[in-house]
Amino acid sequence: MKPNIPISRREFFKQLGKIGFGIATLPPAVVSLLEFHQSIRAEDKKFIEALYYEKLGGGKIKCTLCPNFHIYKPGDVSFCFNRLNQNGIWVSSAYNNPCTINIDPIEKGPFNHFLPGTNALSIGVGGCNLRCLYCQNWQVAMQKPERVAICNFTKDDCADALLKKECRTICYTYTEPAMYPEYLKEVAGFTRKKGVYNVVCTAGFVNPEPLKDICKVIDAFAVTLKAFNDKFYQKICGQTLGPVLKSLEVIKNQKKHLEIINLIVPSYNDDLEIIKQMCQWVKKTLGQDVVLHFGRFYPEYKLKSLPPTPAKTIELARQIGLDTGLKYVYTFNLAPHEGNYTFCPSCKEPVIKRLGFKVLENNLPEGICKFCGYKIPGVWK
Amino acid sequence: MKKVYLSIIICLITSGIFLPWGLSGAENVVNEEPQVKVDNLRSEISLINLVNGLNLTEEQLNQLISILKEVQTLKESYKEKGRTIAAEAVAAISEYKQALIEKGPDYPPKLGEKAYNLNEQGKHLREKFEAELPPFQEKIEAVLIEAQKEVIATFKPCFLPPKSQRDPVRAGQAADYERAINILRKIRQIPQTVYEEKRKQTLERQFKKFEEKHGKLTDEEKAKEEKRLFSIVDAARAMDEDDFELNKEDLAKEFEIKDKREELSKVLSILTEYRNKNKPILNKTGRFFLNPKMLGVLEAKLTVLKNFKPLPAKKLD
Repeated sequence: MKPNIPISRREFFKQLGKIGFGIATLPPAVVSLLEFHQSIRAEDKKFIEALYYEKLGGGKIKCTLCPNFHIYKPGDVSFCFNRLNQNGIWVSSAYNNPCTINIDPIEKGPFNHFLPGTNALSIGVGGCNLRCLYCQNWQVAMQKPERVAICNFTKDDCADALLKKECRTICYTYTEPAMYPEYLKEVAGFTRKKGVYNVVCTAGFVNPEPLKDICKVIDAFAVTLKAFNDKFYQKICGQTLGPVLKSLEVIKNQKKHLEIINLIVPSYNDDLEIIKQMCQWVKKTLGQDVVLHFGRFYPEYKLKSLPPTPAKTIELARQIGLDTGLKYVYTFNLAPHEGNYTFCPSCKEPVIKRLGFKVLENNLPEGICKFCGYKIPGVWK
Repeated sequence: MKKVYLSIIICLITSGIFLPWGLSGAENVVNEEPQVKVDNLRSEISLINLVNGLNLTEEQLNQLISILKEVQTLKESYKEKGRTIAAEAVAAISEYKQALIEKGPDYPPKLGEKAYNLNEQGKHLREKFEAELPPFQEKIEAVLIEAQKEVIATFKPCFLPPKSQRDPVRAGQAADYERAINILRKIRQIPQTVYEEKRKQTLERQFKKFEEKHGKLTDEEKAKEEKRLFSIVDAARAMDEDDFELNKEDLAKEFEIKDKREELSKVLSILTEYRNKNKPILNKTGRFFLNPKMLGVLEAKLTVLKNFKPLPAKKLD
């Protein structure tokens, strides 16, 4: 006896096919809709012509901002996500498009020798030209600025915000500020005239000419020297070491205040011998007054399986730095710790006591040690 | 009536003799019930969380262990004396109990007096021991740096340590504003047509979360907090984008429901400190580090540090 089924086999497979087709086409349709929505958003934003590129003919351009010197055809978006080729014109999509605006302690930069205990207006724009597998801000660093922008934030808005929040410094941070020199130079140039300090946290993978231009409007740099190992740069950060070392020299030669951060990733760049070589290079090339921070890694992004850097590794690295002859070596992302304190190299007294980003006690008025009168380099007032 | 007072005194004697050893850190080996074990483990975990958050160096650990061993030796000598007093007290109270059963109101008054004197001896012993602790607290404080003392001063015992990567300082329970910021962000995006309803729902969730953790709020507290939180939510919603970004942390701090008990406990601790100003009182550093479980925690931590080996290097070729 045949079962009593209301539809025929042919009809059943027909319906099944329709459902399958529907399911198969749904995701692309959703994606298209989202992209359409984003393109409308993007059109609302004002893109401006970017600096540092060469026209190659046929609508192609060569970006000269970073050492990659990539060539892009019309419609292409740059590797750093910050720029795009609009019919042969290289435009910046970062302009006035921050993804993060915060009031942070300046120590978060980290800047330990720059107006300690004050707050900075911190700005970040989507995009970056490195591909660090442990990026702490990957949600915004691996995105086009217009996709993650939170508001239209002009130089005037910036000046207003500084007044409202009583900040004396703007800190360009979170992602890679060197990839949006147009926005950075405009805001920094404008606010500088009003007596505001401008500081940058960068990975330093940028060409010397744009960097020199940035130096004209910037007062201090916190440069992340990811490792003193080119293989680490290539495998873990997707770039190379050489240009970063060059950038450090440029900043030093431009006589800008410089603090270097080395984030120690367990099993990848925690070789103490290489750390020693790095400290020796810093001392020889940049001088023993340059501030060096050894930072603790926390599992993030694609290196989530690793543990945080053991405190002991950070302590050993700091000791190597001090033994090498560097005067100001700190621990970062590890608190409470003596390594957060500023010690006077002359009398060895703790002149600034910190708990992480918080200043507990400052015995360094205007950079002069209260105990022995030694002058410590930095920007103090 | 005199006998009622004496009975009360006897009760005080029993608690007075045995309680000090609990306060001064004697191990509770009498009660083997699982809940006691759980409570002990919980308090140890809290101490471990504190120690983990202090980033003590090997040198500091060695110094602290040596101080705590001194305390332990001292405590042992007091414990020995205390045991004798306690044994005598048990005998005296048992005798008194038996006399009460057998003779009722006509029990010999000397029995009560004997027990009372033993209580005084126990009390003096405890006070003597406590008077010897502040110098140890000073020694402990001399080992710690200011930043570590600051962490201890603000440490709230916790079972699950917070894992904030943004603020590496947090050792115990501390405020985390990420959640509040996200709530305020969402509220800003709600369409006007459903705003009233969603605003109420959000606040109800806030109250529920608070009550799960801290217990029931009174109607009066609720009404007051509701008014305050509504004004914050409205203010957050009225701000333009960049103003909100600049003020989000301040708003988030305000968006937390205030526990009145915290305020009251601050007042209470100020009063207690004042009342006891003639007595040696330990601060938080002293109380945490002179906890009898602390020595074991520090020794275990030192072993871990001594056995530290970095992870094998990854090949980058």
